Amino acid sequence: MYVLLGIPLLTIVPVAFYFGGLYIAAASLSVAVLLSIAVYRYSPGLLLKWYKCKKMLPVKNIDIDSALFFLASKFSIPCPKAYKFASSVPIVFTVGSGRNFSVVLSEGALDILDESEMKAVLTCEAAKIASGSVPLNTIVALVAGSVASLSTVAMWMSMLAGFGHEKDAAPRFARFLGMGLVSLPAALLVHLFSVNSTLRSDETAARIMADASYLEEALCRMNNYIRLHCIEDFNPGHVHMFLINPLRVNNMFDVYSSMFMIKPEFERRLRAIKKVIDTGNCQR
Amino acid sequence: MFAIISDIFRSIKNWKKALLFSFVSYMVVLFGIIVAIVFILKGFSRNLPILMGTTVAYIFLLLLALLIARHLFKKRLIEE
Repeated sequence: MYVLLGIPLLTIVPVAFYFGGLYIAAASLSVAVLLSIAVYRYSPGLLLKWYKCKKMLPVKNIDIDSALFFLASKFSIPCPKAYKFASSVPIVFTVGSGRNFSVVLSEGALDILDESEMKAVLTCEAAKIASGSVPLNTIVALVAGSVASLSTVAMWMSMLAGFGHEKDAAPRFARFLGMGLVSLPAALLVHLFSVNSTLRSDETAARIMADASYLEEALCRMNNYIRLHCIEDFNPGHVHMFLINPLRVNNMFDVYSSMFMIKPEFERRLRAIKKVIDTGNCQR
Repeated sequence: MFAIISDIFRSIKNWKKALLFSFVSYMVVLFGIIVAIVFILKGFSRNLPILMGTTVAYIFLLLLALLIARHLFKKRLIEE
């Protein structure tokens, strides 16, 4: 993992050797190694801070904690912690590195899912942890998300330069232009380095569950809510981590979102779960 | 005429449009780089080789990135 993360940073070393000699190259190599270790260790915490996540209160999360404990023993994974963040959109994702994992649920997800559906969603997240894709996806989300968020900086700079408000034409155009610059490297990062384990984790979760129809219901409910009510903007660099893709191309300004839609088609996911139900592979 | 252009534009997939606009955004940056070089080196025609070299290298790298992106997006992207 460290090696994979360090490869892009190691390109700095020959440049440093060319300009500064052996000592500068050695110094840049050690900085690159330290930086890659720091990104690996602190990326989950930074992403939790990014979404202003809070630990769930013990009164509210008794079922979630016990469900996570049960799933951790079933999948033989370290028990993840449960966090929540303020958003009306039902979003669920997992971040983590090493043996520390956190399952993050939005308040929207807590509101619209019932207990069985919530357990189904948590099973899916536990399957993702068991597949080993979470640490790499977390790092990619942090780096690609940071790159993609530079377009917002462009918009704010144009607003501070006196070109109007957030909904005015000039700041929106500045953001569009900025997004044109940053979405290509961010999308390439996501496509080259992220691990798409969605279908595999759906199938694994469906096999582990006693009744996989709850997973189907939960996914349908979340997807319908996002299709009908989602008006929030999400960082496209983070979407590969989410259980359901909240990005939609509604107008010309959203066109860059289409570069980040790497999740399998929703109908395909449902078909995969149905196939598991029909073949009777669920652990009843 | 506008109807034909509009029809062609609608028929293009969203990720291809995104790549097109991305290319235009990077061309704006190239324009800025050329202006900066002209102002710093104080002259256009006498610094033409430097400007041409910069432009060719920039466009080559950009097209390479766009080709890689096109290859990856064609395989993995979902059009909803």
